[in-house]
Amino acid sequence: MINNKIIFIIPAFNEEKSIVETCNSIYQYNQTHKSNFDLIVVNDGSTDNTEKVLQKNKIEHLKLNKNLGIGSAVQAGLKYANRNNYDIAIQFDGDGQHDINSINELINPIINKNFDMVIGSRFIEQTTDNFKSSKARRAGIKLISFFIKLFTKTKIYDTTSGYRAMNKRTIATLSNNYPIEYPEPVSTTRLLKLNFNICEVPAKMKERLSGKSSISSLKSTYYMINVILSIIFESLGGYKHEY
Amino acid sequence: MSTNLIIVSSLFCIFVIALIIFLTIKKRIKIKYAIIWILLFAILLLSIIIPGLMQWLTALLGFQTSSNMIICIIVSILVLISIATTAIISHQNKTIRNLVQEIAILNKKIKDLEN
Repeated sequence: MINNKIIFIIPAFNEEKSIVETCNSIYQYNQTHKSNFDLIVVNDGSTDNTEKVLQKNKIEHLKLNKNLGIGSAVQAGLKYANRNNYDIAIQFDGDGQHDINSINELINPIINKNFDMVIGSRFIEQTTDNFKSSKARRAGIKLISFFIKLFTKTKIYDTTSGYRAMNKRTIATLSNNYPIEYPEPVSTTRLLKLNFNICEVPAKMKERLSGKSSISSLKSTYYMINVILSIIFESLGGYKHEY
Repeated sequence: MSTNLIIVSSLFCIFVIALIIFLTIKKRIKIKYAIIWILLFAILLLSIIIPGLMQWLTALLGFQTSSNMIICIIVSILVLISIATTAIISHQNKTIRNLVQEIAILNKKIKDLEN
């Protein structure tokens, strides 16, 4: 683990209130655990003071001039990780939802078992958190899960989790071509279609510190149809040639 | 078709062709996109002013009236052009995305080197 270059990719759109706290949790973890994690915040064209806050606190970050959406922000981080030769990249939310203390569970399967991607899951059994999500959302995630299983024959429980660890091969593949809409379930589908090894580990997730989830309840039906269509198109699309 | 209709529609076609040429000269439309519009309206213009051509085509394709046929053909072509435009927009989105990401990464590199 000591020899691995590990970076946290933190997409942030208008997260002035929580971004410093999120980054501090990583710095503190480094101090207490003598780890050496880097982080890169991707400021996705924020219109609030996120950029100022990042500069003031001297947080390593990329500044996207336009708001491109979370998928593109993560992709920018992956490109950065790829070019700077990182071994493992961890996608981590800027709003404080994800708990850094689950990090070992996330990266261990990559280091010890050669997994290509590890998803921090809210739904597999040992999860001991108090994450509350609405019934509708759980049902939605289950439905996405069903379709991914249908098209890739692999069961992924937490299909929309944005807490994921990726190895070098996954970083290279996804930085080259990352789905912009509904990035988590679609990229998972793509990787499974490319025969990448993906596993899930229980991960703690907290209530959001501030800000709103990118999925609002009003748009959820439209969202579901789009996600499912994206998964279908993704699994039909010829990405097999890329690797 | 009545003479009035022929005159009005011919003038409209000429106006559109002139507009496209004007916009192309002003570099607001790329030539490769302008050509399809000019061709389309040139064909329409020809079929309006050549007597008998419209009637012949209408009978050949089985339409009841010439106006039906014209509307049908124009709608079909517009649909195709819209699809092509959507494809162009999607491609440009991807280009813009890549550029914004590249700029961000290069910006960081420059700042790191300056410090």
